[in-house]
Amino acid sequence: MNAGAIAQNFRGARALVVHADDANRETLAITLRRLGLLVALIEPGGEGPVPGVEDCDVVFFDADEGLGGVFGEAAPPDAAYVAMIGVEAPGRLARVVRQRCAGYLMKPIRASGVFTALFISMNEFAQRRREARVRAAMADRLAGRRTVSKAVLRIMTDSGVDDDEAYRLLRRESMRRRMTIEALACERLAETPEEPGRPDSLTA
Amino acid sequence: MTRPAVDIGVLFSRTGSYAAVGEAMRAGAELAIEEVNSDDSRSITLRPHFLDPGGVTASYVDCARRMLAEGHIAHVVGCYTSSSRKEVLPLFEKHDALLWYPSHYEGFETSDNVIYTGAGPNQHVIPLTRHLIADCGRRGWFVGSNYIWAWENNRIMRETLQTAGGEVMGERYFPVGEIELDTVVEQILRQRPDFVFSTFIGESAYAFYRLFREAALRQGLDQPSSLPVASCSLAEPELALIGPAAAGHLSSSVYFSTVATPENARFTAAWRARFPALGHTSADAEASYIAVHLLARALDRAGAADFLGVRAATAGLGFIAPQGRVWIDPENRHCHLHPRIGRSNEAGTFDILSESAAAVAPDPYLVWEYGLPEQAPRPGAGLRVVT
Repeated sequence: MNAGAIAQNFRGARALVVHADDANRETLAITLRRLGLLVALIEPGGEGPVPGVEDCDVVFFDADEGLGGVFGEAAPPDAAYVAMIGVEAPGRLARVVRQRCAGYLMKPIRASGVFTALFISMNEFAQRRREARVRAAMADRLAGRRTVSKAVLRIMTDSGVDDDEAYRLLRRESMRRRMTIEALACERLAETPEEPGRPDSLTA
Repeated sequence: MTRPAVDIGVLFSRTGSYAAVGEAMRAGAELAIEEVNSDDSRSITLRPHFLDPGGVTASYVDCARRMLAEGHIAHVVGCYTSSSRKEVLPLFEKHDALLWYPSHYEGFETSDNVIYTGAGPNQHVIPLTRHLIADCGRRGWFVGSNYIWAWENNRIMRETLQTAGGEVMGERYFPVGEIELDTVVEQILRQRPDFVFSTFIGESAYAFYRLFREAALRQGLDQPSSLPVASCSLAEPELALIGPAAAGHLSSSVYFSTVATPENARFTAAWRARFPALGHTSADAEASYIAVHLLARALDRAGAADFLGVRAATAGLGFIAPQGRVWIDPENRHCHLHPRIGRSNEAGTFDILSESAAAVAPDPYLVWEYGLPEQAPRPGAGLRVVT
């Protein structure tokens, strides 16, 4: 599959930092702003969800404290997660793994390392997104396989061609119209309702 | 009233593989220290402690430890290579000390314990790329020494060239110190790019300039006009080492000894009087001269030598340097500097071909240099074309 271009400039990206107000958070926020990011800061276990947090590209959070109820009832942002790790205890690290963090920073936070964590996590997250899209497309194709088979049978019957030719017709038409073969198959079946007795009919 | 003396470290290699540069940097620092100490308007004097790490990375750590841990020094002017800087940085963080780093470098760092007085990528390689595209053409050949300086500068130039519709015809790296470069010289001459971008350092650079000139002459080519070699590091002390092939090469730098300012006239005269054996002034010498003058002003402003106070005092701190007025950016602690393009001449100096009208703000991560890549999805992007 296409590996995609490597992003290296994160100007204008939105970062959410979930960490107590201390020198670590300050160093991180300053460095992210130098890198051109827009930075929002919230306290873990603070006064409830902050509006707009779902619109972020990367979340930095305190692995010692976790994300707690920061996002309230809302789904956590679909973003790259970077753990800020203080205690290297299995329980805390398990939280980092469960959150599927694509990068981490060891505390105390220094300016060095922030660009690396951002660079790796943003690119890793973009790669996961691409892979998820491929998986979704494959699931769609799998789900549509029965529809495509039915459409091929319908064309064979209607046009008197063999299965290879019927499939070729369907594929060529789908490319011409820039739609998936599954969507086109669906459309074809809807145009010509099932008739009992036809070889492609489920009610035969 | 006697002024209090502040101990500072001066950490440059006067021996080892880049001794010539280290010597010039130390001399620039020394000259500035003497000027500060003889200036009665300053509130302090500087008491320098010189150490020579001999160009060995591990020795930088030993020297820095002696200065910071044993000498309780909070300010060190020093380092030339990025590897030496990165090696000593943890010590500066541990001891709450500030490194005044006076060298052009490849960028991508903003340490809270460093003041950067040399040029970063948007102040050297980007202006050079623009000059080459405008004056020489868009087909480049990249050669250099195999380390970070070459890789990053080549990456930046490659991306800028490609954005402008240009092309990298070839790219080769050689071990630091390699001087058997005939094969690559022949290859470049065969392929005839519009320009060569060299990131060679030291002996490899001198060998390349000589071999390339000789090979071009054998083919009857006027190399400086038909196949110019450009770099972001060629400086005056090296021209003397290259010999007869030294003239006619392009260099991108914030300082040349030929800069026409009253401050530079004063600087070069003082330099000749103080260090007659060292030849012309250079960018690295000027950068360490600037570092010491800015340090003295920060100490004045802070009223004490402690790390946090002095660091806070550096925000926006400026000085009329030989290259023009420079100042420290409060956000990334790199300096606003004056990019120039020079061409080496027979006199062992540079003719300045162009200079930036105003100081250029530092952008060490090149955050602001480029437009962002196209992110809008293409129509039908999820569909694969099959035949």
